[in-house]
Amino acid sequence: MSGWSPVLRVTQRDLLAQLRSRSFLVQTLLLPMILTFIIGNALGGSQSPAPSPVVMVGTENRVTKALADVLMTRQLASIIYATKAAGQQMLTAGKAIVLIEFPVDPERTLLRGREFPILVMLDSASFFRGTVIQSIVQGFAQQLQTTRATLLGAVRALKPATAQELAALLPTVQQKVQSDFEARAPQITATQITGRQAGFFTYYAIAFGVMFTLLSATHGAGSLVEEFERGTIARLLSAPLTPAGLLIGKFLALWAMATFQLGSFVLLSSLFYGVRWGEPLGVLATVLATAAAAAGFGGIIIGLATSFEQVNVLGLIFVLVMSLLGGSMYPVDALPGIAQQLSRLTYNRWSIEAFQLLSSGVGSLVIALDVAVLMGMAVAGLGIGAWSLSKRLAS
Amino acid sequence: MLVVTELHKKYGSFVAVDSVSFRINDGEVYGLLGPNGAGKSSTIKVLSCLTKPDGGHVQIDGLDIVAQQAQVKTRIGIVPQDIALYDDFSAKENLLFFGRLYGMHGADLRKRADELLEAVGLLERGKDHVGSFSGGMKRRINIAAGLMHRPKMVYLDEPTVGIDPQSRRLILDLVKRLNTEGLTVLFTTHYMEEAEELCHRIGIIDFGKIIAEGTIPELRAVAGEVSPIEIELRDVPTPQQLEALGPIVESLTVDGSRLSLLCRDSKTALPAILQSLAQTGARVHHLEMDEPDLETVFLKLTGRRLRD
Ligand SMILES: Nc1ncnc2c1ncn2[C@@H]1O[C@H](COP(=O)(O)OP(=O)(O)O)[C@@H](O)[C@H]1O
Ligand SMILES: [Mg+2]
Repeated sequence: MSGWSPVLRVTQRDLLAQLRSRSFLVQTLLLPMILTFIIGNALGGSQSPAPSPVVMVGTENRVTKALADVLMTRQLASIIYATKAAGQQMLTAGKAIVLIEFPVDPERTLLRGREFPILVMLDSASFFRGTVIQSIVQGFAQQLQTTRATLLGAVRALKPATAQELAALLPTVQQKVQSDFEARAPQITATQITGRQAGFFTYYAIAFGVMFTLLSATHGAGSLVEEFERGTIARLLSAPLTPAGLLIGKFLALWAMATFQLGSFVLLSSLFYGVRWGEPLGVLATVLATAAAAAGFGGIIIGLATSFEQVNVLGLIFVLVMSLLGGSMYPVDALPGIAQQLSRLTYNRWSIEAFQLLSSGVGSLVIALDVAVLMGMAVAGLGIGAWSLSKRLAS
Repeated sequence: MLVVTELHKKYGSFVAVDSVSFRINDGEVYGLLGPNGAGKSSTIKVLSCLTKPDGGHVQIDGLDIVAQQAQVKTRIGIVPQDIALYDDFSAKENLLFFGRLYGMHGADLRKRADELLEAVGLLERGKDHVGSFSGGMKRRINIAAGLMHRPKMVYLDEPTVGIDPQSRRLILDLVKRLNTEGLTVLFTTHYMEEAEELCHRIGIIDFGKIIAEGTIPELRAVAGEVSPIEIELRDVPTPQQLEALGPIVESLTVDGSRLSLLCRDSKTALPAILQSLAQTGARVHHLEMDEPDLETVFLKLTGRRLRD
C-alpha cells in the first residue's frame, strides 16, 4: 500500500547520512585496500616477482634449451625438466605455473617436416604471467617454423650445390616462404588447468573485497536501530510507509553503498595492484549481485536486531561463518568435504566463484548461475527481514 | 473528527489503556491530562497507527485507523514525546525529509519548511545541525516536523516537558495560533496549568482509564464544593497530628512539612483544622486557600496529586 516515493526517500536519506559519516571512507574503502595489500604481499607477493617455475617435459635438447634461455634471460621463469605426469602434478600443486611439451626429438621432427605440436598448460591462477610465457612460446614456435620452412623450401626448390649457394639464396626465399607460413597458425594447444584458480594475490583481493562488502552491509544494518533510538521510527511509520516499505528503503541504501564500495575496490585494486578482475560487464554484474546479496543479509539483520549489540553480534556471525565456509579465509577446496557442501549456502562462495571465473578470462555467461544465486539470496534476505520487522512492529 | 471507542492496549498481560473513549471535534484542542504512566503515550501510539489496538475502535473522519490506515495517515501529524529528529542533519533538512515522506516536493516543500521554521522562531538557525540545538529549540523543531504535510489534526505528546520557560511560552502560543488557523489538536500533559490554558475539553486519565471528562467548568463541578487548602508547617507533622486532622478533611496528602487538604466546606472546616493543629502542638508557617482547579479534581478522584 505504501508507494515507492517514501521508500526511496528513506534510501536517499540513509545514503546521505552514510556519506556524511566520518568513518565512511575508512570503513568502506581504505580498510579493504590496506588489508588486501598486506595479505596479498604476505602470501603471494605482487610487487617484484621472482622467476616463476616452468616445467619443460622431457630432457634438455637444443630446442628446449633455446626456449629456456629466452625465458630465463627475461627473469620470467626458472626451468624444471620433468616427465609430463610429474609436471602436471606440480601444476595442480601450485609448484609450477606453466607446462610446455615439445615433440620428443624436436630437431628431427622439424627437419622431416612432420607435424610439430606444442602443448602449453597454464595455471589460470597465474593467468597474467602464464599468458606472457605462452606468448613467448608462441613467438618461439613461429620462429622455429619459419626457419624450418625457409630451409626446406630453399633446399627443395633450388637444389643448391654448395653451402655458399645456399647461403646466398636464403634471404630471398625466406621472405617468400614466411608470408606463406604466417597464414598458417602454429600448432600450439594451450589449455588452462582448473583446480587452482586465481593466484594468491588476486584470490585474496577477491576474497577480501567480498568479505568487506558483507561487513559493511551488516554494519549499515544498524541504521534501523538508530531510528528506534532517535524515535524517528515513529515519524517514519506514521507517515505513508509500511514496515516492509521501510525495510526495502534501507535495503536499497545498503545495496547502493555496497555496490559503491565493492565497485571502487575493484577499480582501485586493478589500478594500484594490477588485480585482474576480468571482463567488465561480467564484473559489473557480479559486483551488483554480490552487493545485493550482502544487502540482503543486512536486511535480515535490520529485521531481527533490536539493539546495536545485536546488530554487531549478528553481523559478526554472518561475516565470520560465511567467510570461513565460503572461501574468504581459506579457499573452499581446502575445506573438508562437508564444509565444501555447506559453503554453497554462503554468499562468499558464489561471489568468489564468479569473480574467479571472470579473472581467469571466461566470458560473462558462465557466471549467470552465480549471479542468479546471489540475487536469490538478496530477495530471500529482503523477504525474511521484511517479514520479521513487520511481525516485530505489529506487536 | 476523532472518535475513540473503548480503546484497549496491552503490553503482554499489562493493560496500559483500559477502555478509553473520547471524541475530539474539528477545531478543538483536546487535552489528555494524567500523571506519568497513565497511558497517554500508549493511547497516542495507537492513534498514530504505530501499533494496533487490542480492543475498541478509532475513527478519524469516519475512517477506521486500522482498515483505512493509508488515508488516516495523511490526515494526522505526530509530535512524539521524545525528540524524534536526525541530529546530524540541519533543522531544515529534517523538515524537508519529513515533508518528502508525504510526497511533498519542489517549491511548496521549501516554502512550507521556511514557514514552519519562522513559526517556531528558528528561521535563522535552519541551516544548523539539530544536534547543536538546546532542548527547547529541539522541541520546537520536533513540533514543526509533525506539521510539514499540513495535517488537519496533530497529536502533541507532552511537548513542553523539561524545557525553559521561554520555549514553553512559545510552544503554547504556537499551539493556540495553529488552532485558531483551524488545526485540531490532541494535547497530552501532566501540567494542569497547561491543560487549563489551552484545552477546550479535557480527559483526565489515570491507570489507563479516563476518570473524568469535560470542559474546565464541567470538571470543576466534579470537584463539587471541595476546596483545596495548602498548609506549610514549621516541622514535619507527627502521625498523631495527621490522625487528628483525618475526620475533618476529605483528603490529605503530605509532602515533608507541606500538607495538601481538601475539605468540603472551607468556612467551617478551616477553624476546625487550625484548632486541631494547635491542640496537637503543630505550628503553622503558611496557609493558602485556592479555588478548586484540575489538580483538585485529580486529588479528589484519585486521592493523589498529579505530579507524584
Ligand atoms: N513498550 C512497553 N512495554 C511494556 N510496558 C509499557 C510499554 N510502554 C509503556 N508501558 C507501560 O504502560 C504504562 C503507560 O505508559 P505510557 O503510555 O507511556 O504513559 P504516559 O505517556 O501517560 O506516561 C506505563 O506503566 C508504562 O510502564
Ligand atoms: Mg508519555
